[in-house]
Amino acid sequence: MNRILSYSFSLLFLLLLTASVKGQCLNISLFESTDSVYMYHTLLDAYSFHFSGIMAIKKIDNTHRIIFSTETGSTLFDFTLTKNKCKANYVMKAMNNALFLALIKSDIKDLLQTYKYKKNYAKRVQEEVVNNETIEYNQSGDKGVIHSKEIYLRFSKNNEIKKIITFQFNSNEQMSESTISITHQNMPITIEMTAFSNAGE
Amino acid sequence: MNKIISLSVLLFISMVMIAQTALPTKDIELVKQKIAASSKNMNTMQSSFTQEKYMSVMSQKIQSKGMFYFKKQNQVRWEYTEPYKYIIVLSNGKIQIKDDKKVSEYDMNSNKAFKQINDMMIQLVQGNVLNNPAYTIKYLDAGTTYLLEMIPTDKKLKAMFSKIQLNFDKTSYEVASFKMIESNNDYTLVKFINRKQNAIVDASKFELK
Repeated sequence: MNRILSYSFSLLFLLLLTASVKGQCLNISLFESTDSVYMYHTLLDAYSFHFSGIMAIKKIDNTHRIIFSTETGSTLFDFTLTKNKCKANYVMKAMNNALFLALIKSDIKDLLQTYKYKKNYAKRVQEEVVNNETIEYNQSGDKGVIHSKEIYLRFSKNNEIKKIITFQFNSNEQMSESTISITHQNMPITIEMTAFSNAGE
Repeated sequence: MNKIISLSVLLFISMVMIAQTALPTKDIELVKQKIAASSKNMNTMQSSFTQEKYMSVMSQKIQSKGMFYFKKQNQVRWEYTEPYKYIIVLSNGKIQIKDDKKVSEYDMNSNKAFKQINDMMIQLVQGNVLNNPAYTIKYLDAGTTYLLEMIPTDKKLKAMFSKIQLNFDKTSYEVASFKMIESNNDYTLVKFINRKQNAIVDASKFELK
């Protein structure tokens, strides 16, 4: 009888624990509305390249379309992002440098990834290890607003960990009023994005 | 009776369609000369502008507006006031950009794409593209304006635009609007409003601090 009781308690405890862990997890999906086009005035600096313009992001079915054009309207690049791949539909010739494009594609992929993190932690809410990369998400407050995401690279040779990219967000959940700053720690690459609306259908 | 009505309706629709279609201009040489003269006489220009960028894949238009300034030779200021504040000045081989945070300065040659687009836009604003071999041009009469349809023949321009449409006012022969159409049918339409030609434009407009 005692054994049955202790089993029951253990089961109940396990159930409660599972529930509380589930309660702590919150999935945040940025850029996920298929009704909105997310618009950012964007400054992109990479080595000697400098570009500024409008970054438009839209979720279409299960893909994201990202179009970056100059203020005066010329398209600089047009990418389609699927789960694992960022495909270039168009890149202006002057921007068509293989290394530069690979870096920008990688940043956009990292930016648009679905965020998962635990609530109720002021800092380092979750570490995610993907291949050799460690990703840290930080949040401010408890309303699901992420304020930064940092990507670390673990070097297999000496197991050293180095921060390589910081994504700084100042945003609400809908990303409607936001600034995003992407900074590479070991390369002169920065992307500054400021949201705006007032676009017509 | 019904047959007469439907014939009349058909005739009316055809007339409306004809009215909306731009027809080839009869006197191309005269139009060319007038535009060239207007361009030659333009030393400065200042104008409000509206800009519409249409992205077909997103079914979305981005509408912006601001002030445009031009001074011979090749000094340009695009000052966007909505939906964001942003100024870009091109002068003496350098690009200056002012956003909310700072003024940045770049050598024009460090950004070939920008230089190419800018050179083209200066030519569009001035209207002195008519003898440019990089385009084949159709001269059309579009009612109150002359519509010049420019098809790029240059490889680099072709990669960026399938067609550029320039609208010239029929009385002043000044550029009233231009539309740059990309191969995927996305376009950018710029319209000039309250355009002033040869008014004094202060040199400080082309130097950001």
